[in-house]
Amino acid sequence: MKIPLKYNIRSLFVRSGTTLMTIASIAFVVLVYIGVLALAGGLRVAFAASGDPRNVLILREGAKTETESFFDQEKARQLAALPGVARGADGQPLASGQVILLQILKRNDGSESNVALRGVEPAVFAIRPQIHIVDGRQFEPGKGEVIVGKNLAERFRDLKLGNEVTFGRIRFKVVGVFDSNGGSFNSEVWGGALDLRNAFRSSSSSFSSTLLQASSPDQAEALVRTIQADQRLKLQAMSETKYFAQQATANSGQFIILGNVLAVLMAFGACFAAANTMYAQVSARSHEIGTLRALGFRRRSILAAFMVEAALVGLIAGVVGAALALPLNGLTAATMNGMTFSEITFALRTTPDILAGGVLLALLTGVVGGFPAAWSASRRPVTVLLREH
Amino acid sequence: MGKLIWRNLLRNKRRTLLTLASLMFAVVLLTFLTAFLDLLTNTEAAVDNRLVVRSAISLANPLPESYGPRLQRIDRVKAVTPLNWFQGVYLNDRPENFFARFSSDPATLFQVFTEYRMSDAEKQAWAAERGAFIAGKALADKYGWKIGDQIFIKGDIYPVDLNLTLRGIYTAPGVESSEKQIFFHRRYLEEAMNNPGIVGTYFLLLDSPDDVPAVVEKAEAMFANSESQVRAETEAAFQLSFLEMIGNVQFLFQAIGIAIAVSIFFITANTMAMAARERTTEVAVLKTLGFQGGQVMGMVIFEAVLVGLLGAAIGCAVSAAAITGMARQLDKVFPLFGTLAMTPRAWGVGLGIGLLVGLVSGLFPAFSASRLRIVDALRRVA
Amino acid sequence: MSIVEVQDVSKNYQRDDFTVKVLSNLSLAVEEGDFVALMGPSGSGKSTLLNLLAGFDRPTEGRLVVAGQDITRLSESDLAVWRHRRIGFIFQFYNLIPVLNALENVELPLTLTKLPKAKRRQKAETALKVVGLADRLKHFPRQLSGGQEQRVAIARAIVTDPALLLCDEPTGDLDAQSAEDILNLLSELNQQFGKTIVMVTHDPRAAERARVVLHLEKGQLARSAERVA
Repeated sequence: MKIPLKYNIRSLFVRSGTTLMTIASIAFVVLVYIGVLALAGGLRVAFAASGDPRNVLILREGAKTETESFFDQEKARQLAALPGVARGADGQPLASGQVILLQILKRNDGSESNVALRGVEPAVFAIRPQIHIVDGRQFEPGKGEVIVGKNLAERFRDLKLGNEVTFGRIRFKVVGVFDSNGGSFNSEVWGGALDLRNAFRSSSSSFSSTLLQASSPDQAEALVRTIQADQRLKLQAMSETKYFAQQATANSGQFIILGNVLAVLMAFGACFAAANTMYAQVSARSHEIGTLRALGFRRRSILAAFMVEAALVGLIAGVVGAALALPLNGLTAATMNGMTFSEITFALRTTPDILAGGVLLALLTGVVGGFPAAWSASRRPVTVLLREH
Repeated sequence: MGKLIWRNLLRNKRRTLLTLASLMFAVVLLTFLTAFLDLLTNTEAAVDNRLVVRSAISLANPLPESYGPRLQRIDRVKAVTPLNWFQGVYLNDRPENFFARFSSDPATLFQVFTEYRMSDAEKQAWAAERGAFIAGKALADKYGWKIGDQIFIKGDIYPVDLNLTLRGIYTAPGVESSEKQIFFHRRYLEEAMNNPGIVGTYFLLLDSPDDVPAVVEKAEAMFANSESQVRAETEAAFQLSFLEMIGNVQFLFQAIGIAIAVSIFFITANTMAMAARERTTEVAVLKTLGFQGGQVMGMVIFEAVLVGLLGAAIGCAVSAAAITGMARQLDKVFPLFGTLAMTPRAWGVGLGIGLLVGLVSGLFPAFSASRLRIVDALRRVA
Repeated sequence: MSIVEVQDVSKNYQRDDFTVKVLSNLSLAVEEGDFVALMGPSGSGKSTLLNLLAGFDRPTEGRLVVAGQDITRLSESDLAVWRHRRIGFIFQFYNLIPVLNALENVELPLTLTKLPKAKRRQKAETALKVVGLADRLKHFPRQLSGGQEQRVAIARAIVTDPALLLCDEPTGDLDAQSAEDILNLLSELNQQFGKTIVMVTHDPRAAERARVVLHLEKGQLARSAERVA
C-alpha cells in the first residue's frame, strides 16, 4: 500500500519554517555549483565560437600559443601559396599573417591588465565572416586606426569609440567596435599588422601566426598534414578548432575543478542539514507514523513516504537554486587567459546540462541526507511510536 | 546558567552533531578559499628596498641591455641585475615540472638578491662557465640534482633550447619559494639569439626602503623620452600586479564565500529555531521564576554562538590539518601551491564566520523568546 | 492584613469578532497566612485569575495589589523582579528543566541573586530537605516519579522564600497517594512556614485542605468565601 504524495507535500509544509530553511541551505549549494560551472561554460562557449573547422592556424614549432610564436613573413608567403588554400572573391588566397602583442591598459576602475592586440591582414575578414562592426566603422590599414572587441570597449576607458590610445610608441584611433558572436576575439584589439608591428618596433618582418582557410574541413586536415610534414619550415599547424579547444580546456579546467570540489564539500554539509530536518519531521510525527502503521501501512511504505519527502525537499531546493542562478547567465566576467597572458572577457553560461547537474546534486543531497531518518522511522516499533507525544 | 546552556546543547546530541558537521564542512571550505587567496597574495619573497623595472608596454616587451648601466648610476641604487623569464619546458609540460627559470648575470645576481646564500667557489664556478646554471636547494633536492648534473630545457617563449650544467646550489633561508628557481647565464641566451641585447626586467637593490619613491620617479623620468619607456615598482607591487591581471578571482572567491556563509546561516538558524521551539515552555518557566526577557535572550544567543564557534573551531582545526597534509602532496603536483598554509587570516575568517552566523541565527529565536508571554506559552501545553 | 487585593477586576479576551468576558468586576482579598482554594467549572475564570495574580497577564480593568505591590502598574522587567522575590509558582505539569538535576533545578532561581555558589547550594539543599527529597539531589527529572517531580517544583518555588505561593492544579497529574503527599506538604508550608497559598483546583479533596474555598462562576464569585477551618 502506498501513502499518497499529497500526504508528503502537506506534511512538509506543516512545519514549513524548518523545511524552508533546509531548502534555502541546499539551494545556495546549487547556486555556487551552477555559478562556478557557468564560468567554465562561458569560457568554453567563447573559445568554441572563435574556431572554424576549415581554418588552419600555423605557429612556430615549440610555441604553445600565438603570443609565444613568431616567424619570418617569407614563410607566411610560402604558406599562403600552398595548394589547398581557398581563394576569396578577389581571387587572392584566404590567408592572413597575424601579429599578437600585449599592451598594459587601465580598466575603468583604474586597475591594470594586459590587453591582446592583433595585427591582421585584410583577408582575415573573409576568413572570419562572423566578425562584424557593431559601432563606428572598419579600420583602414596604414592610417593608425584600430577596431576593438565589444567586451573591451566596455571595460577599458581608453578603448571607447573615438578615443585615442597609445600602443607601443604610436597613438592609434579607435574607429570601430566589433562583435565576433560572443567569441574570444571580443577581448582583443584589431588593427593592421604592419601598423602594430611598427608601433612595437618588433622585428618588422615577422608574424606570430598565419591563418589559412581551406575549402572544407577535410581539405584543412590535408593542409595540416602537408605543413607538419615539411621539416624545413620548422612550423606547426593545427586546426583552429583544436587550438581554441586547447585554450578552452586550459582555462576552464580550473573552474570545473573548483566548482566540483566546492559543490561536493558543500553538499556534504547540506546533507547533514537535510538529515536534521528529516529527523525533526520524523520525531514530530512519531504518533502519526504509529497511527499509519496501526492502520495497516507497512514499514516500507513509511520508508518510501519519508524518502519521497526528502527527495521532494532536494528537488525543490534544486529548482530554487537553479532559478537563483539563472540571472547569472549572460553576466560578464573577466579572467586572465593563462596561455596568452592577456585578459579575456566572457559571458557566463548556465547551460541546460549545468542546470540539470545542479538540480541532480540537490536531489542527491536530499535523498542521502534523508535516508537515515526515514530508515529509523520505518524501523521503530508501533508501540514505541504511539507512546511518544 | 552556563551549565544550562551547555546541557541544552547536549540534549539533542544528534541534532547538535549534525549541525556541527555541516558547519564544519562549510568552514573548511571558507578557510581553504581564504588560505588559497592568501597564497596568491603572498609576497614573502619580496624585499621592501628592491625595485623591479620593466617595459611600460607589457612584460612581453623587452628593454634594451643599455638600460642596466644607466639605472646603476641613479643615486641610492646599490646594485642592478637583469632577469629574463625564460619559461621553457623541463622533462614535460606537466605542472609538477614547472618552476621558474631565469637568465641573469652571475656578477650581479647575488648583489641584488642578498638573501640568497652560496659559496664563493660555486659563484666563481658559475661565472666561469657559459653553460652553467645554479638552482635553489629545495628544487635541487626535489630532482636529486648534484653539482655537475646536466639538464635540458626546451624553449617555448624563446626559440632556444638550453643544455645546462649545475655548478652551484643556493639557499634562501626562511623563504622556501625562492629556492624553487634556477638561474643561468644571460650571455648563453643572447648568443643563441644573435645578441639582440634584450632584458625582460631589471631588479634594483636600494640603500633603504625610504629611497623607493625617489628612485621610482628618477627611473621612469630617465627613459620617458626613450625608445622604451619603463615602469618601476616595488617587488611586492610587481608580484601583486599578476593578481590584478587575473582580475575577478578575488571577487569570485568572495562571492562564493558569501554564498557559503548564507548557506550555513540557514543551517544553524534552522537548528536554533528547532531548539527554541521545543523549549517554549521552559522559557516560560524561566520567566515565571523571575528571569528577565533580556536574560532569556542572552541565553538563547549564547547557545547559538556556542554552536557557531564550536563548529567553526572544528572546521578550522580540520582545515589546518588538511592544509598541512595537502601542502606536501600539492608540492609534488603543483609546486606553485606548495606553500599553501593555514594563515592567521584563514583562522580569523573561519572563527569570525562561526561567531557571526551564531549571533545572527540566534537573534530571531532569542527575540521571540524574550517577547514570549507566559500565558501564551502555558496555554500551548495545556 | 491582606496579601492579595483584587479590586473591581475585569478581563476580556477578543475572539474573532466578539469579546469574551472572563472576569467581570471581581473583587476579593486574601489574608496573609491563608490557604485559599479557587474552585469552579472550566471557563469560570479561575486560571485567568491565577495568571493575573502571578503577573503573567494584565487585567482589562481594575487593580491588583499583590504582596504589597500594585502589579497593574509594573513594567515587564519590574514584574520579573517582583515575581522572583515575592511569588512561588507551582504548575500542574511540574515544568522542571529536563537537562538539570533536582538540586540544579531548585538552585536555578537563586542564580538571579548575588549569593555565592556555596550559599546557593546550601539553600537549595535545605529546600529539598523541606520537601523530603534530601536523598534525590543528583537525580534528573526523568529519573523521578510524578510526585517527586512536583516536590522538586515546590522546592524550587520556595527556595527564594516568597510570601505567596500560587498553585495551578498541583495535584492534577498525580495519583491519589502522591496527591495526598503534595497536599500534606502544602499544608505544612502554610502552617509551619507561614506561606500564603492560592491554589486553583477542581479536586474536592484538595479543596478540603484549604482554609478558605472560593467558588468562581462565569467570572464572578458564586458565593461568599467559605471558611473551612
